[in-house]
Amino acid sequence: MYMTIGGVLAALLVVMLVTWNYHKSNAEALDKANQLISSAQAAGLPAPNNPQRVADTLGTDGGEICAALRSDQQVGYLKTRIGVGGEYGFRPIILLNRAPYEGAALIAKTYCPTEAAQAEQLINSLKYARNS
Amino acid sequence: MMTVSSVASLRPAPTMAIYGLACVFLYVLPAIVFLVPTALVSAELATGWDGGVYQWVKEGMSPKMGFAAAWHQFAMTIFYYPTLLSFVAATLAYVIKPDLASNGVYTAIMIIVVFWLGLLVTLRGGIGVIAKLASSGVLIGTLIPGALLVILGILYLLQGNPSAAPMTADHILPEWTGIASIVLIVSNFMAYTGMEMNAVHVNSMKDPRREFPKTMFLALVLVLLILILPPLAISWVIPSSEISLTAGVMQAISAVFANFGLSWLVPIAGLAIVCASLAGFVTWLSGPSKSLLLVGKDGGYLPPYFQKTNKAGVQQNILVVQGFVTTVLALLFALVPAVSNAYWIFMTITTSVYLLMYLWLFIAAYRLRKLQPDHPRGYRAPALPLLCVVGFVASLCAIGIGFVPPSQFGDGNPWLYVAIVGGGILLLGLIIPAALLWARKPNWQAPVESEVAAS
Repeated sequence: MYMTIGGVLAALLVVMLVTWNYHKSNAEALDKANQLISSAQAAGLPAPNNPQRVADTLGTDGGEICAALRSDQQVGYLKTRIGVGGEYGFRPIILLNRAPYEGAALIAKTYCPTEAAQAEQLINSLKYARNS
Repeated sequence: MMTVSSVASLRPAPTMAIYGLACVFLYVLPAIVFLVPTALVSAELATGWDGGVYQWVKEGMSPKMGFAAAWHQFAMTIFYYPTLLSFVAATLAYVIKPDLASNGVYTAIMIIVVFWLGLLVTLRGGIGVIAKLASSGVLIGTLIPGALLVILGILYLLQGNPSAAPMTADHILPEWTGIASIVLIVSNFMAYTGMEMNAVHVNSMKDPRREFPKTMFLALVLVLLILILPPLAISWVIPSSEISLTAGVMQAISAVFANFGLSWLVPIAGLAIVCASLAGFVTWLSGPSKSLLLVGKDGGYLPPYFQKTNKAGVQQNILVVQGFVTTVLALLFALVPAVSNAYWIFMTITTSVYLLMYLWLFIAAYRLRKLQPDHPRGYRAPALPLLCVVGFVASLCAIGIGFVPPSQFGDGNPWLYVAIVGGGILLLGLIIPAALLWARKPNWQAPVESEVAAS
């Protein structure tokens, strides 16, 4: 039994190592990273200080954020996850303000403009303790 | 390790990183009023009575309440697996093909396949296999990536970079915003649910009366470290606007790794985190359903069909029926947007129902000290009445806070929310277990051969 489980996991690791995009940070990704940093600065949000890191993380497609916004199920899962807590016991909370989401909205605007409306809609549909 | 795997995880780390230094307070306060009482009280009960929550509440309150407690613990797992396994699906997709994460069919297939594979492992292996898998899962998937995050965070600061989140004394407490702050603190109690769960397997330990309390203390320390340090490390490296909630744990790890040119480690970290989630999954699969089996056998509360076990002593029919329910839920969750959008409400209801079990647990522990003071206990919790009162009040507050509409409810009518949650708790927490009790037939009582009776 352990051999089978180990074998499946090893096979999965090989697939993951082979399919992982090791060259996320190309010229286009760096360009988008710089765009994102300038728009964060313009919006008065704490901007990432390292374009290389942003390019490595978000690549050219906006990574997890854009992928999540394309799927109703992922947005639903996100709504379930809004909050804090452990592996099982998490419960939705009242968010303080929009700030943590503004970063996601900017990523959507920069990397997947077609999903920007979905991001805005999500942010606007939530209730915040403060409006500012 | 099974306890750590069912409680602690890196999944909430990016979300908590938003609170910066205040996340220490947000985890430590609930630990004092909820985690410590639960851990100590469970340790005393587990070393005095075999059989887990059902047996404790049965002895301390009544057999029917014992059944209710086991049901309340089991009920919350119903809606849990689709979200946990969709996290596994999304993490794998993040590395293999990011577009897949947006594909509902992929998510549904992954949830269903992984669930049934996990079930097969549980059925074939019994508790020994589960314990080993949980231990290695926690080690590979939570402790190692967590430690790596913390080391990289410290390195980042040592390189002379300023911390992205302010680490000064005036940021120790979260900003006070009235009810929102109370909801935030109390909802963190949930981070610690599950500490009592593995007491049901206490018989499988070599010397449970000595070992279980030790294990609980070790688990308590590990859980605190795993929950507090990684979010703190993330908040040093990444500004809070960047750790949007959408990003999730993989994105946070990628961003921290990218800072050190270690992006090539991301696929390995992804698999490690998948292992940890799977370890948590098999632990949850085996614990509460085993409790329900003991209840079903001991009191005849479940039809004989559900009392059947396989050669490895695993509750096969309970698990298989649960498998079909999970399959239907997974299909709805992954393919029907209205269901995924409202899924958080189900989670809120089941979490509140689960918290009811803690009320019964603390009442039972308090009463057992009064009713059976001389019953041998391997470990006696200090100031047990105080622990019970603190834990009971904390659980009650957490149930109460469940009725405050959260951010997701937007501008909806708060009374509608109260009615939905209240109705859900009533249905799942009272009406269904009452119906099962009402439908019980005398011939459901199995001949005395259960694990409880045997021990």
